[in-house]
Amino acid sequence: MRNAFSAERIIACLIGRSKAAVIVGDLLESFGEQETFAFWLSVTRIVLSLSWRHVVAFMAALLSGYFLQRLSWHAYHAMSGIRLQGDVNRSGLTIFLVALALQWGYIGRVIDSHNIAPRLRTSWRRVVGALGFLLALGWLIANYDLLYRLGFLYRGAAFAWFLLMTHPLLGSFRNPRAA
Amino acid sequence: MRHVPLGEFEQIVLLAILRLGQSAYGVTIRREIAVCTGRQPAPGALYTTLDRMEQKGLVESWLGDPTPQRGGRAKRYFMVTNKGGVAVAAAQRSYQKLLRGLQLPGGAHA
Repeated sequence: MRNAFSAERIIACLIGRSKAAVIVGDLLESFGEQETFAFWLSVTRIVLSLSWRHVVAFMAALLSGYFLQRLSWHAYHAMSGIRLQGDVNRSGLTIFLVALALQWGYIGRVIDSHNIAPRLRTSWRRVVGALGFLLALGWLIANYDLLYRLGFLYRGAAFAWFLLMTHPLLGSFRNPRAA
Repeated sequence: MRHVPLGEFEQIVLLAILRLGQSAYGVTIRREIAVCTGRQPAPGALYTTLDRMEQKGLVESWLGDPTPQRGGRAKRYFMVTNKGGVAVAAAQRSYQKLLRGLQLPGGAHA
């Protein structure tokens, strides 16, 4: 027996409830009551098609995060003789604001308004957003050694942010632009 | 007007919507493509393409009334915008230019 509500809930995690309802409605109309296998096969194909960019974004964010972490480690050692002035609260606030701007799509809107790359309006916005955030984070780490002392917190926060940026479940719920 | 470059599948979807007129929604678009091209498009590919084209301003969509056949779910109808029409016409003109003067098996292109 097919369960349209379950299918709708799964797809809604990726693209929002209203669009998921339309897609499941189309599938119900396309497949008869007995075509359960074909129905779920289509649901699986749709989920794979909608989520592969999120998976790529997640992997890219993790890999680039690891790379930047290694880079900042080397930069920290190279500059260890120089005492850089830093302010954890200010750094934290900067990270928070950049994160907020990326997650809620403000940077995407600025890019759109300047018509730099219309393609960034689609799912790739998340990939570009995650990489942009990582670059900002790397810059902060290179400049604020005090932040680096809070290594555990930084890693935890960075990982949580990767999840928030790239995970389709959280991303769909938190981004008000997702229908 | 500067037209938006289109991929092959985007052109196919736009042409299918134009052919269907007021009755273009997921199921009919997919069926029209299958009938005209002999290829059954993947459902996921169709919906992501439609979303992308809507974001580009090539198509517009609106929700119809819920129907019992669809478990009380609405249809999402699509319409090609002026920008979409210009883009697909430009893409087709490019194909026509490339074909002009060629003698291909299965048809003359003079």
